[in-house]
Amino acid sequence: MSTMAEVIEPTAGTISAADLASSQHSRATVGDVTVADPRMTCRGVDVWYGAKQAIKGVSLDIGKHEVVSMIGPSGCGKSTFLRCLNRMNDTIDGCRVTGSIKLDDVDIYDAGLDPVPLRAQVGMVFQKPNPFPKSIYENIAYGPRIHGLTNNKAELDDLVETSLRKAGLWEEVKDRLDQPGTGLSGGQQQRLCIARTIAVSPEVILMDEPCSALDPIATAIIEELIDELREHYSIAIVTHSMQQAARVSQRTAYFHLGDLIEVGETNDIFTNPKHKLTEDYITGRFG
Amino acid sequence: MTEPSHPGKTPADLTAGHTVRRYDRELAKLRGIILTMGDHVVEQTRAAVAAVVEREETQAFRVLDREPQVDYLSLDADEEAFRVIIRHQPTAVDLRIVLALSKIAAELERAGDKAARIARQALELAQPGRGADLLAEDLQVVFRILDDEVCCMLERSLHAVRDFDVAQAVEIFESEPELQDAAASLRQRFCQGSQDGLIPHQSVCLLTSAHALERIGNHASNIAEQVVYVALGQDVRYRNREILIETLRHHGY
Amino acid sequence: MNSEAGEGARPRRTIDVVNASLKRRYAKERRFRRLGATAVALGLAFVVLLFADIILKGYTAFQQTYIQIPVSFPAEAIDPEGTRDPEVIGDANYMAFIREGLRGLFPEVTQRRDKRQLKGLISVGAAQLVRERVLADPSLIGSTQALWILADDDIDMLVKGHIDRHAPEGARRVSDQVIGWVDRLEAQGRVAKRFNTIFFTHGTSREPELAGIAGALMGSFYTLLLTLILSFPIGVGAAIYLEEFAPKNRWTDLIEVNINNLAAVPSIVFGLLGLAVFIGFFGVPRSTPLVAALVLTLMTLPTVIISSRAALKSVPPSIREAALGVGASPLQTQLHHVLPLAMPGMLTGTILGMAQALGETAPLLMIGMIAFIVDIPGGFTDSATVLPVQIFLWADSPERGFVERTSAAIIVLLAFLFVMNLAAVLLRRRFERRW
Repeated sequence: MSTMAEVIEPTAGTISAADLASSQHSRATVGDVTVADPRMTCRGVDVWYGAKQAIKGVSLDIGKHEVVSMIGPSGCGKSTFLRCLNRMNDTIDGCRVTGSIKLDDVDIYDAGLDPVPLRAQVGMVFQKPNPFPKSIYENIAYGPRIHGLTNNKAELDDLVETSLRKAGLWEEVKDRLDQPGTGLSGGQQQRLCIARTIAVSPEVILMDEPCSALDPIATAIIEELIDELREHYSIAIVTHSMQQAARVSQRTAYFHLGDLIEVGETNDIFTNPKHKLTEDYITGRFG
Repeated sequence: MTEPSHPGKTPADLTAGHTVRRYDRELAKLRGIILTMGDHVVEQTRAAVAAVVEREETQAFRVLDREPQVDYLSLDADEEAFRVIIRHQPTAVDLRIVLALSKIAAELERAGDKAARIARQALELAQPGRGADLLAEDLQVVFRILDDEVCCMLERSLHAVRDFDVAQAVEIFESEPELQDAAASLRQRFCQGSQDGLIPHQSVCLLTSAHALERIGNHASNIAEQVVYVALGQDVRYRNREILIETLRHHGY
Repeated sequence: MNSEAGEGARPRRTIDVVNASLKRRYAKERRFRRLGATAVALGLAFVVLLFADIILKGYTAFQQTYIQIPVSFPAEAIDPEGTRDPEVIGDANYMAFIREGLRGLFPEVTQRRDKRQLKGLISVGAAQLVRERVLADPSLIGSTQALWILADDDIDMLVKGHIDRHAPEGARRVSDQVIGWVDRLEAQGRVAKRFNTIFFTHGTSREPELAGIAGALMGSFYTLLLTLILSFPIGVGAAIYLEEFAPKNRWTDLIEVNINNLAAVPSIVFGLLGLAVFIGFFGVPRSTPLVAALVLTLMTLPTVIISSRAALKSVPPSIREAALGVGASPLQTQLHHVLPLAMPGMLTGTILGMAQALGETAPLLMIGMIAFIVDIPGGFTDSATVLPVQIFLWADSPERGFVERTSAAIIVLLAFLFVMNLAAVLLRRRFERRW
């Protein structure tokens, strides 16, 4: 009986007029935002750009060894939320973050916390492949070098090779490490950026639409890579491709106008979303 | 939330509302094929039963002639379902609609087969020198009762499919005992002996027909299960019916 | 007929409408192109005219007329004790030796007035040049040498054909007698035009034949060097701070507006400021490269800052994100990634600013760079003048010899500018990277 009751819990909070009117307040998130083994825990995160609220009370856990995908229409705040997780929003004027975001029980927005080492722990891969205009080797070696992760050239060489191998790029570039990273193809550049990120051995990797500038084959290679990386890292990925979210992630979070509408197992979200907005979005009924 | 939604009251068309309107049309087309199939099956069943009850060979032949139509429609339905999957990669409710309609097509196709089987029994019965010409009056009545019950369920299930209406599905679940009763009373009638002058072969034919008819009713129930799956996203096959009905009623369907 | 009428009645297809207007559109385009080509041609013509004028006027200044005169250096007159002491050698009256030689060439000249005219063939600086020669090579003492002696600027002009021989005698600077002497010397092969090394090795002078641009060139060099040293780090630093670190508020907006306005302030104002503040208040020595550099730094800073900011803006933000994303601090991000990428743009802006500073005259007039300085400056605090001011001064001088020297100085200035722009282009190439 109890299973049935849970089973038939109806699909849809349809969006009502009262609901729209009160959209300044955060909406309750459908689904369980917590995980048993969290790497990052976000609670009641609000983000303001000046007077405009971009994120409204979002709570979400990112578990160890899992890929969380964030989907939603443009301007829904998913990228903003992602950028809170390694304080990349600090660079934006007038951006204010409240609420708590913890990485392994340390509040990353603590006044005494330095964002620079944080970004080594929480790496980021961007929408457009953005290798430094330097050699492939230098691209990977830069992070470890500024953080002093290696003691000598041999160690650094090893680290560069390991990182490139993890990113599945070693075989393609081992003979031309001294050539500029910008000379690689788009997909290779993006893998170079991933290798650069994992060279500083982060715990969490944030990916902001990492495949949106790539062709389907390069995308497939990156997706395969994401699946492999899951063994060692927690990954949060923002994507516009719902199919991609369905393919790569274990959990999916749907954002809408700054609210986290629904979180759940990716399978559930894509077969039987609970919230009307989620369903409308993923079935192409948005707008 | 001032006004929690009651999807059971007036279900919106679940296939509609896509940004790509062609998607709507293709889903509606798929459903249209299924509904046409359903109408055919209902007609076939009625005709086949009439052939059995009234010993009308022509009716039986017509049923057998028309049987491939349902098969072809099921092929069409599959093709359309593939097309939707390839073009639109359906998710969530759309995925459920395509999967369920595909399954419903299979159910209807099998129901159509059963109608043909009944028609073949009618031909068997009608062969000369096989005992009584017509069924006893009361036997005809029980047959008709079962027929009405089955066709009613089937039609209702088609209505349910048209709107993915859980309330109609629940009514089908509720009418299952009546189907069982009607089938049981028909079997009972045969157990009482062959005082109608039926030879054993005829009895077997009639029993086979009755069984096939009951199975068509079961197919209608299966279709209703798929309707619930589409509307609520829960697979309710192989569940305890009474608890299911109670739960659905409890939620206002 | 009917069918044609039917055709005409049909609504015209879009392509017909397009075709109808196509001809007009192409004609318009051709007109526009011709107009552009004309403008470019006109511009080029003016540039060619300017260059041709300057070069035609100036190229003769790179040659200088010399007269070969046998000069004897009597040992008893120069160095009676044979000590070869430079001071003793330097004290001798070399002009007397040259006149002696000259009189030897024209033994018929005895009149006092004619003697003075004869003496006028030779530049007043000739003695100094000969003295230097003897000092460099004391073995000349006691011998007689056929030396090429620097001619006076009037003779120079006469030989170069800048003086009209057919003009009435009173209207030209050389008398018929002198023309006769020069012709005689030329016939003897004793007049020659040689490369004008004095122009490049000497400071300015009242005498055109002795005037050189070395002083102004060095003055410009020191001034620009100091301006570069001051304005590049300050300008780039200010640009980086304003662009990357400063909060965006009313104050930074105000600063930005002021910088943009400063770029448009007339340069003479900077001169006044330099006079009042640097010289008047801080007591920086006037007419030195130091104070000139300070003033020019003020003047070029807005240019440097604005172009540096533009260069920084053109660095894609993805590079900053990439660097921050791997944990670089903001300063590391700037120094390791943004600055190298912005460097070509910054250098271009700076060199343009330098070129502007090189050609600047007005503010320097205010801080005493107009002073007549013969010595070549040896440092930042020596009195100096700069190329454009030198050009201004020479252009103002009445002697005919300064006309060609003005043009020659302009050629040198333009060459200087050309080299700087070339350097800018090469630096850009060197630093330019793809991203």
